[in-house]
Amino acid sequence: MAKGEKKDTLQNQVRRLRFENGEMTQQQLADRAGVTRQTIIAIEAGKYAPSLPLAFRIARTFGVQIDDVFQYGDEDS
Amino acid sequence: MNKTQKGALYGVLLSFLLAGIVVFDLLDTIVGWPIKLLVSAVWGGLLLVPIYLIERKKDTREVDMDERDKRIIKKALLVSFILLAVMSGLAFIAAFFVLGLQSTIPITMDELSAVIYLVLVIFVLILSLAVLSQYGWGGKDGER
Repeated sequence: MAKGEKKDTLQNQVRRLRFENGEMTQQQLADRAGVTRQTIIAIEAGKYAPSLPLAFRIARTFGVQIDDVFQYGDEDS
Repeated sequence: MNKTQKGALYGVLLSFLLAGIVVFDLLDTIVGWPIKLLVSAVWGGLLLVPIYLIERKKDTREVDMDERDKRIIKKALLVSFILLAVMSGLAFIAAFFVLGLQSTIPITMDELSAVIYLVLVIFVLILSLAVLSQYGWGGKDGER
């Protein structure tokens, strides 16, 4: 990546929203979203970017908009 | 550890077991058939038991494989194919320089089948290691 080039970042509020929704466990969220607990762990750690359908399912589980769960931005490298 | 990881670990174990079968088969003249039959039966059992353990579900609601698992397997297949192609190319180049294009070598059916078998074993081993490395060699459920 060249100097000054912007780097895409994807951040999420999954962990915070889990705790705000009756201290939902990762397994409970995984069951509702239709994925494995490992995938939820990877998403929270920022190691995995979910597909659009999965991102929407997670947002609907929390009853919020997708923007409230996932934030996409760029930062200078 | 999810099902895909268990399958990959089993793949690593399977590779070594299958390689052992090849070596065992090549020692045919040394070991008599009763012992060979017994060892084959034990090997067969060792191969089947993990399959049952991996396939068995503790909870019927448990998700077997999700989008992340599929993506990991896809990448692992690509890596395995590329590495196998590179290795095959290098083997061909080595044989070309050692033997030359027009030379022939005597080879028994046993040896030929062992070579083909080993190619499969190497593919399974690379695939399994590629899957496990993408999961991060993590502990329980990939957490660190």
